Amino acid sequence: MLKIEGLSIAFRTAEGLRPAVTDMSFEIAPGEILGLVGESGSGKTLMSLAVMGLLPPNAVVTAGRVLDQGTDLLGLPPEALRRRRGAEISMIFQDPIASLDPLYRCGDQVIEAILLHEPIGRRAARARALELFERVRLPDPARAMRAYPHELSGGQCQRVMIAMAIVCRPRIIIADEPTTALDVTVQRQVLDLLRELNREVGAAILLITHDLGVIAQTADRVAVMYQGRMVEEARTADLFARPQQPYTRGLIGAMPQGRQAPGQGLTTVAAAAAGTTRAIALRTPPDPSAPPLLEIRDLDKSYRVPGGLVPGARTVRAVDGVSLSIWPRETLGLVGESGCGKTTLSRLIMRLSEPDSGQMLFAGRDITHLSPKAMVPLRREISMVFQNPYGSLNPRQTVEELVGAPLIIHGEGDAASRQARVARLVEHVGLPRAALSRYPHEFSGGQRQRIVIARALALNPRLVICDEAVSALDLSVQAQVLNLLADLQAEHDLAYLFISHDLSVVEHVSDRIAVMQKGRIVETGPAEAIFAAPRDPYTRALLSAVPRIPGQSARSEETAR
Amino acid sequence: MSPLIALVPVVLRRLGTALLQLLAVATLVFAMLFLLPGDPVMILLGQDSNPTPEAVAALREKLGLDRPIAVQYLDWLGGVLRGDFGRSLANDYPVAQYIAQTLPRTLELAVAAILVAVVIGLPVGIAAALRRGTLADSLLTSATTLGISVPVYILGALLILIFAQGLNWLPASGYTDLSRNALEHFRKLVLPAVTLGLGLAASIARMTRASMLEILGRDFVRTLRAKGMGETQIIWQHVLRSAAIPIVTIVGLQLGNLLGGTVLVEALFNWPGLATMLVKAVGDRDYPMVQGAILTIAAAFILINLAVELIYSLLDPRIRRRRQ
Repeated sequence: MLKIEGLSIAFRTAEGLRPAVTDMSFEIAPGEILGLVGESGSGKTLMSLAVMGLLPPNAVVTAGRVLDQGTDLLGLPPEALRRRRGAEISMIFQDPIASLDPLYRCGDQVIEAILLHEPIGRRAARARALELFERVRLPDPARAMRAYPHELSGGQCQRVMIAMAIVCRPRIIIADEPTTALDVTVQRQVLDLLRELNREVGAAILLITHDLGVIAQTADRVAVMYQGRMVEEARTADLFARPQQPYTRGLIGAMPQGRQAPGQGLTTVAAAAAGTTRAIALRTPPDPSAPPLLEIRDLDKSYRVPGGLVPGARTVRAVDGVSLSIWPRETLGLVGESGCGKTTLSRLIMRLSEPDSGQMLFAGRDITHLSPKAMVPLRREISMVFQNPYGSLNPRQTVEELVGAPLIIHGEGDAASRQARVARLVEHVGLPRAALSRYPHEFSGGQRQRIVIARALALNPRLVICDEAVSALDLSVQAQVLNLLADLQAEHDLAYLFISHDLSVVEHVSDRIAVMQKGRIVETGPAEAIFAAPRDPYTRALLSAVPRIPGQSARSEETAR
Repeated sequence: MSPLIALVPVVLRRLGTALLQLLAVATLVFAMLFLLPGDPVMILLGQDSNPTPEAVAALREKLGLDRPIAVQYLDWLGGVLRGDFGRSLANDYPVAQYIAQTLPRTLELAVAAILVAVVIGLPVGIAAALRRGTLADSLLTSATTLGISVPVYILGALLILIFAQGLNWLPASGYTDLSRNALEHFRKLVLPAVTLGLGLAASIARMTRASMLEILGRDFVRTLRAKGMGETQIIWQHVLRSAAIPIVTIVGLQLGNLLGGTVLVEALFNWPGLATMLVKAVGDRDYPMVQGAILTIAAAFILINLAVELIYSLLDPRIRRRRQ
């Protein structure tokens, strides 16, 4: 039994203590999974590190107790705490490949964990590690024992991590975003495994995540954290059915559920607190009888992977005979798991790389082989919003310079008219006028993505490619950005190619959906049709893996337990 | 597959590249004779002495310079392959014998300097990383800045002043053959080796500190702590091994500087090595000697780089697999 009592954690700063976690209390029974949900900066990871006794040097516990079977872990000397780590409390982390030492074989890393805590021989430890690799259902456990982390997939590395976490039969397991870096089908398998092992091992699991779907699928009870405090705790089903606090209601409302209804945006935390909903602009629906804005026919792109000493490099078909069309004012969702070729396709459309064969028509004009110079006027028509708002803004430029850059490149207007246009754009994406003279680091992730969007709209494009545009954002921020994109689409008659691995987001925003697997489009169709009756087996597998929360329109056969 | 067997193809391929590099260097060294201003024959005979055309033609023939360039080139390459670099113009002694005599002395100096650098640099870097942000860290880091910025000739003079003339612990300069007096041999090695190695020690210390701090922030270190491993074991078994990869890089890159540094250090300490021979040959316009010395130094550099790459592959399984 793990019991947290009135735990408060603060950061030491030059101005004194800055509270990060305030008065957290909860308990977890053996065999139970408690979901701890909250957005980035809410203090959930700090909480877990305090339980492990692994707080960073600049963080201190200012009050409270962490009781493991009645012993206060916070009062233990470091050596006693070290002996408990891995043996009685263990941890599973977010990025499984980075969480394993790249220079040691996976098997050896698990053996090491056993030998740290148990007086058995190396041979016995090896046998036990192998047995565990079978139990976490690693394909070819013997090979996995010998493999280095980079030779396994993310899902397989997470199985290695889970094996390592349960190898000494701990009483408490802390899983910090264990599936966030994984594809949705793999996420499903890992969560199922965690639940199943929990029943066998009987450990108390603290499951930390920002993803309400993961909580719904896995946790018995949920604690919601906001700005370092616990705002609500309930049984999982009750929380989703009757959220008590405005923050929780806002969070659940911010989850994209099903198709976007005309004029109705996602609830934001602020709107939930005020008891209102967010309206979005009504758009003119796309006209399928009109000629398409972008038409792609049989596009191919292969990469040669150097084969080393073996003569004849291996060829990977990243985009394999893809045909797609996007109509004006339409949102086409492109889904698929990592490595399926989504980003290669978007680069081909942007003409950032050359296709091997096939044809691309933009507004009826063949752009497949246009020279870079002939492409210039077309670059105004197609723009792009990238995934990482931190990496896609030059940190040394002000917002005014960043948003104005496309105007200067294309020689648009004079200085005064450019300045006025930039000011309008910035206001348009919901940033204050004062933002113009500031630098990217002064903004939050959501605000930065607004800057990126303002820049993408600077030249009045007709097609915007959003490549994982909201994937790096917190749920409530994601809702704001999705609402903004919907508003902008209605006002500027934009067409979106919306690329994402997140099926609920794609379902929410798209008119039509294309499902991509291993470079091929396996299925295309209206969003409703794809979600109601997927024809391709891959689409079905993908959809059934999406965590659904109870009481919501679960259109696929899968509902949460 | 054992890591060593897995390396065989890598080694073979790299050896092939190294041979091509050596061929390129040999060609450049040969071309040097024709690209440099002045006719070597005239320089040898002395421009002021107004040599007779017969004397010029005789020397030209003796040096083989009257033959077509292609023949001279193939002759030179063939000689290099057999280890024959021609004869010194100064005393007709085979260049290869000079190199055989002086190269081991320079290699000994370089190896001793690397030892000094590693023995001082690694512990200083580790200590500074583990005490990050403390006074000890600032002191050690400042010391490394000093170590990198002090030129070899000033450092050497300073060391001679303190340890030879001031304290009288060590001889100021010179060389004693190992077979004659081993103790004296090593006593005379200390100051030049420290002079040559201290700059590299400072680079290694800085790289070790930076690399350790980078690795200590990695996710897998958190995993090791979470599985209950003690800090000492984490650092010696895991962090240092990952941190070693950039350290090996810096050592490999700096070895080029080290070879350059031997020119100054050998001169300063009267160390009769390859660099001393090269400097003297340049002064004498002894072209075969210059060619032989430069080719040897270049070959040493290429071999060191080859060794560094192989060490990478041993250290990092990701590089090993990628190369296969």
